[in-house]
Amino acid sequence: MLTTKTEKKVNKFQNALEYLGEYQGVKEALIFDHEGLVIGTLTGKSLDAEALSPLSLLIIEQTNAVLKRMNEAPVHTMALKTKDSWITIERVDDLVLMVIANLHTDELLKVRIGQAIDMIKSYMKENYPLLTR
Amino acid sequence: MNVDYEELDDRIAKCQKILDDDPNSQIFAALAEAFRKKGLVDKAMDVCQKGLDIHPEYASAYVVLTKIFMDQGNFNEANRQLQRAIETGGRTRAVDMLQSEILIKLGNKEKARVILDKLLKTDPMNESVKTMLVSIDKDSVQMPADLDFKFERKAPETGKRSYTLSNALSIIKVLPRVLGVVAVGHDGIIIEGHFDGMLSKDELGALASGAYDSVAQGIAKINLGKPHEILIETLQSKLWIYNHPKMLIVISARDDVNLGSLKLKVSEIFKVTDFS
Repeated sequence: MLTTKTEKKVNKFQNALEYLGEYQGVKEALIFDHEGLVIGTLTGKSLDAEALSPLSLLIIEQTNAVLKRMNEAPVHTMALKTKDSWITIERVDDLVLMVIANLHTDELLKVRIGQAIDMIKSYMKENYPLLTR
Repeated sequence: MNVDYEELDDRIAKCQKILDDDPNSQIFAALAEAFRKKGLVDKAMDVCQKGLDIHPEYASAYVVLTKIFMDQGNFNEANRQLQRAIETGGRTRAVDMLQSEILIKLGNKEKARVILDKLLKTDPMNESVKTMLVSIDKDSVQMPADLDFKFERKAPETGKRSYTLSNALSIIKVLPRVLGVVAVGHDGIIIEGHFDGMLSKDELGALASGAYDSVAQGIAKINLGKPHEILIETLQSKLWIYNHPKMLIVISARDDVNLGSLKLKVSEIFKVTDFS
């Protein structure tokens, strides 16, 4: 009898999002590409990932337009703090990672985000080397 | 001043080529300065010291070395190197400015004030000189290095607001790696500011205010409320926009700024600032 070896496909984007989701205070996290196509989500019920991605791109685009007039380089990371949320938008090569956390989440969230970004980058490098810089 | 990394890379390449062709060239000082501006302090130090071994009388190189030690926070050594610059090349306005900055850092504010007063007499519109004078003026104002100590001690005793908005912004402007700070009214009108970059403070204020509005509109669409703080990081710099009830405070800083420390100090300054 023939046996076929099945490889377990691991979606490391999702792993990175879940790793973020484990951090206390993180409410939502998603990864999307430069056109707003959602690649991975870890969302609660309150927000729609399909709405968040184009919105984030719009914010980045408008901010870049302002930065260009200031002779500055484009946005690499944005952190927005509202009454009860801490929103991080970070470019990872051609992708964007968005993380929404409670406002009072401790600052070590930045480290967790950095580790998640490393996971995304490493997965991108392994599987999509032409897209990585 | 905003850092143009492409231009710096170009300058480094040109200087390096000249130095490779002629190891005795005095171009090493310019090369070291370019490395320093790019944040490559160790490399800058290496180039500068090797160059000074060959040209021990080259005053400009001592000025570069002074700045390198200042970047490292070693103000005593910076002071020693600046003395060598004065001994070999005499005094210039740039040297006087550096000396004032070092003296302030070393706590010799009165001596710094004498030098700054002289500089201001010959150039009354010089914003940097004015900012430094404000920072050492009166007992209510202190330099960044001793902010934390003074705040702990002074604010609870008096129970009064110590700073005007102008004073507060002047102090923020001289915090390490801060390029500029502007207060913009919610109507977009500049209230006060200090900025040394390519833009005027009005331009910086208007653009930052525009950035804030676009982000606020975007966030409003997902019902997350109004942003009270926005931090924009690029590969070159950081722009921090803080939404105070009465105005937007915009702080532009170098990319290597210690943001945690900056936020802490700004927060302490604003605790004792009268925004009325």
